[in-house]
Amino acid sequence: MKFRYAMVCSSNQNRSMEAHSLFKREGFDVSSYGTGQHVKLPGPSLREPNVYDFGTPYKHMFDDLRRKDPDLYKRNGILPMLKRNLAVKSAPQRWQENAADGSFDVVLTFEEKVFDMVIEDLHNRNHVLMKPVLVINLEVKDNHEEAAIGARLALLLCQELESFEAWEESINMCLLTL
Amino acid sequence: MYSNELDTSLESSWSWMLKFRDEICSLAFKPGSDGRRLLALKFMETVVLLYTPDPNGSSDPPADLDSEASVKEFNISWLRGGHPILNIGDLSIEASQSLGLLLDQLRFPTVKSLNNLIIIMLINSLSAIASKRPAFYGRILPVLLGLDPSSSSGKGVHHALKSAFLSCLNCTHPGAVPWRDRLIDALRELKAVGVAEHAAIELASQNSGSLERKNDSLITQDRKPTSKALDDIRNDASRKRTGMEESTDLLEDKMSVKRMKSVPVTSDGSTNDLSSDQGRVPSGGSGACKMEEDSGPVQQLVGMFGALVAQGEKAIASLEILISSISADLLAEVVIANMRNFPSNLPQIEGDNEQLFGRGSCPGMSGSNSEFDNLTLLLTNILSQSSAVPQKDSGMDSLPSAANELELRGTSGNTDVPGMSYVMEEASVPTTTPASSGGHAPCDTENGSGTPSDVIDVGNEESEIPGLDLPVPKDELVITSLGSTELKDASQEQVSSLARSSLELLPSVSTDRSEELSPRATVTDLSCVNSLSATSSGLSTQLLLPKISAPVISLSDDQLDNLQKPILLRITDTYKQIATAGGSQVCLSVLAYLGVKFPLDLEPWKLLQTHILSDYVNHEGHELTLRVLYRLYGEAEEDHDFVSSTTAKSVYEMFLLTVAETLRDSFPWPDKCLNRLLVEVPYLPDSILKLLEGMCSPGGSNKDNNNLERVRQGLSIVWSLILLRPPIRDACLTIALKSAIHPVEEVRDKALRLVVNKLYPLPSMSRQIEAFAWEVLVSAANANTALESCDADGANAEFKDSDMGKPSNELPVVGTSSKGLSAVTDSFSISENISSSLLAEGQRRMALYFAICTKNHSLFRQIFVIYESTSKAVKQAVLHHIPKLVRAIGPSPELLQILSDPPTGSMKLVMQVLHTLIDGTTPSPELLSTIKKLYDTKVKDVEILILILPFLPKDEVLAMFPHLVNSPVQSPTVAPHFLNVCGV
Repeated sequence: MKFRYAMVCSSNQNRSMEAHSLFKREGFDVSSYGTGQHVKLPGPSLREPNVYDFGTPYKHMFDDLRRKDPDLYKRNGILPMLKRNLAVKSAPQRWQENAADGSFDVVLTFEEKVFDMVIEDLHNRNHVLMKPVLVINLEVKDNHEEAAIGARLALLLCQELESFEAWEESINMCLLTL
Repeated sequence: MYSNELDTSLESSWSWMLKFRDEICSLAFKPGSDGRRLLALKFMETVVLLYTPDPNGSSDPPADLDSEASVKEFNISWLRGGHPILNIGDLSIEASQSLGLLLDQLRFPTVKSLNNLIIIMLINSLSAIASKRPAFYGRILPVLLGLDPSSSSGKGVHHALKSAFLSCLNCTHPGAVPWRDRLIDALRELKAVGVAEHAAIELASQNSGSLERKNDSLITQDRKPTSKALDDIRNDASRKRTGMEESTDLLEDKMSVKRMKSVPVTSDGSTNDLSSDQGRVPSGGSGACKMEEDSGPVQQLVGMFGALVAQGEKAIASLEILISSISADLLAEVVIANMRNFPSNLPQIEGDNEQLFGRGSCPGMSGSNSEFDNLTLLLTNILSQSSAVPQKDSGMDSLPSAANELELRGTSGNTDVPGMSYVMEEASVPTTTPASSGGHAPCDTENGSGTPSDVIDVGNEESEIPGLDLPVPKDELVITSLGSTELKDASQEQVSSLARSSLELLPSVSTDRSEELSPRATVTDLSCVNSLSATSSGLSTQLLLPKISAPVISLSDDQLDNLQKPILLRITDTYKQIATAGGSQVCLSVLAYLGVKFPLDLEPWKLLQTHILSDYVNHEGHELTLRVLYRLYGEAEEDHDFVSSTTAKSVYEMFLLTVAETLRDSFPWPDKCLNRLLVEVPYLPDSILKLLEGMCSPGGSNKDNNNLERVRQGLSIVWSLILLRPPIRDACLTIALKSAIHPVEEVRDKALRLVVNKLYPLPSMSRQIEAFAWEVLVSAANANTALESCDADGANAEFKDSDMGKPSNELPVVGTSSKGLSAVTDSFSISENISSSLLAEGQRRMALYFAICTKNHSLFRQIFVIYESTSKAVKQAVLHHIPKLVRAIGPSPELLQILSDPPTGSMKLVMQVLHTLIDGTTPSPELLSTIKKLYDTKVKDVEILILILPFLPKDEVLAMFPHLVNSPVQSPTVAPHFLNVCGV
């Protein structure tokens, strides 16, 4: 694996973590982030989401939600998702606050808004290495099923990227065929 | 760099640097590795930026040049003072040339040959240059705007262009202003309309804000001319930005003039117009004399109107008299003074925004024909006109006041806008006078808005206004403006308490309405005016006006919760009345909407479910459930975020499941409620499919009627779903197939009827059904073989010796011999139990295959093929099934074909088929010939001939006679046949 990957969605819970977990299993060098202000998870109603700060451990969220309403959160897939997440890494990370993680070769985003925020943030970062970074947006709906599909597509794409001599030459065709 | 003694090494390093730069720049345009080109292009962008002065940066070098930060933000304008090597002019020429090269890349036809990646990179670089160096706007934007995103493949270019335009749009440099229209148009074409509009609005607000701020600061130095000029700019800018909406604005202006005129003149009591309501005064108090007695005549009049309005309809006549008796100027003043009593947000939204961006910026504020709206319209029009006044300053001085009267009385047909604005200008004088005369300082410092400047512009004309002889005392205003905030709060409280009480009376009023109307937190220039007037009069009657206008309450979450539940209950409780009155449709929609809006802990769904299920038929339970589900489905699909969509999805599932379960239990077969519901809901979650599966394949072997009814209901639903919901066809088919191999025979039969008679004929399903049936058949064969090898060891020797496939006397008589059945031992009876269960299992698994054989006879052959390899129990089961099946099929050509060439090892089966075919009927000639052929070619067993002996002509029988005699078989059946044949 020659590239370093970042998976970015808004809350670093569902889409990016699904991809993170898959990529990790496949042996990729991968990190994942969210670009939102907070980590938002479904709550008892539309009006009352569960809001956490980035950096709150998944374990903490898991325990918190299990305490609140185990049935509800199990049914809507939140608890299983958190369980998956805490096996991947300890806490959600915010893209904008983790510039110190170093540079990535490929950044995959799963929403146009997130893509724009990543681009904006990259422009604001200190350019030291002057290395190009490939940022690809893969529009994926924020639900469990689509996230799983999105992650598999992302994996296919990145496996193809790895196979190129230089992605700059072939990325166009690669995206078209995808 | 400041050193004048640059040594030669520095010079040579610079020259090498230039070579290096040229080398890289040439790389950027050479075809070759895209990776290298990307970096080279980025390098060129940086070169252009470094070679040109940064208008936002400081033009003086920082004191500490060595620090890294300062070097990063190098600005060429530091070298303005001169530099021995670097010549600013030359560098900027080079930058310009480099930029030209970059731009050429994006021009037709070069752009055609470029990779998408390079195009995106170029767009990003150029837009970065454009926003950082607005001087290049005029060169870069035409090229970017000329790009056709549709010609390139992929969405990347499209997106890059969109972001580029947006970032250019956000540039606040004056050089960027002329491009905004084209940028917004281009964004519209790129289907980023929402974004564009949003950006435009944001910009406009920023712009006007900043201009107004400038305005303020300039006023202090030079009042009239500067502010006028700036206002002109502002208005121009806003016109440009709104572009095509301008014409509609003009139209609206004209209309508003008409509307405005109609208010005071045609004071029609029946319309309940607020202004006309004001006309009913205790007639003795004719306006003119009264107001001269008091210090604030206009405020007094307003107070009087307020008091009259409070009296309601009975005061209409007096209001009319009052209005007709006072002069037009005074009336205008009253209206404008009254305007201050409005909540701050209304004039701002309807007036300011409307003027800038046309109608529609605040939907819901206009439209209804209430008193409130009429007044709003009137006042906001006045406002919008008065804010346009500065443009007309020059012509104002000479304007005769008689014109105003004409305009306001509506006797003149002139509706043009300038005329109107003059009128408003005149009319607004008294309003603004207090601020100017009473010391505008408080207003200025508090809000820093543009209003005071307008005030000052016109302030010197107050003496020319007829009908206003007594100016407002200064000191009163100063005091009141200082105390404004407290009073505003007080009035707010009063309003909310009044409104709350009204809400308590009518809990079914949606609270969202009040949220929409809640005032903006921002304090605008108008709120300043507003507070001024509210305090200056200080009368309780004034406070009545806001009460009419906006029942604004901000409730805490707890209060909301306390209200919401009763609201829902009330609607459901009064359902009968509502339905009788014909409002059930609205009611259903409202209920569904409330369900989504209310927090889950109030359990709105439970309430709704109780309502629905308490009387499903009479409460239009089906319609309401559908509405609720579609609403939830919409929420889930709208996809604003993970949170809401997931919640809505889980609520959807629970709701549907609960309703479905209740319907299943309370409306048994043959009711179609559940059927209809499941067919019409937006989608069926897995839990519903599980429910269906549970209905079609009830657990255990309970055969009670209830269960069977449920199976029928379930299967009929499955059938409807298969017909009407193609996407879940497969899932439904699986349910039906599972039911078709159910252990309970009655259940199985019902499912088989559905599968074989209705589903199997559908071309799309037949293949699946065949595959499934075959799989089950094979699994039955294999499973039983395995089982049997365990249990059949040992004591069952006799059983093994006996005729294969017919070990049990439980079998129905199948025609052939019952040899070996006499030997019933103890050990046999033990294994009998096991084998009977195996038999049942075998039958269960084979039923489906046999059933579809009746529809597709060619499948029958497979049974013959696998027959040999199957276990005893399966063989039994097969033989058990065969008679029914063969009777159903009859001697079809396919069957005869199979019989004429049976697979090896299937003789027993063939025999049984033949027995069944011949049993009780006269065999057809085809069958006879098949059997004879079979005997001649494959089967040398005479038993087969014996079967058909009775049906053969005598000579044929005689020809066969030798075979029969030589036969080793001592069948008891032979003799009678033979005798029969011989005619004995």
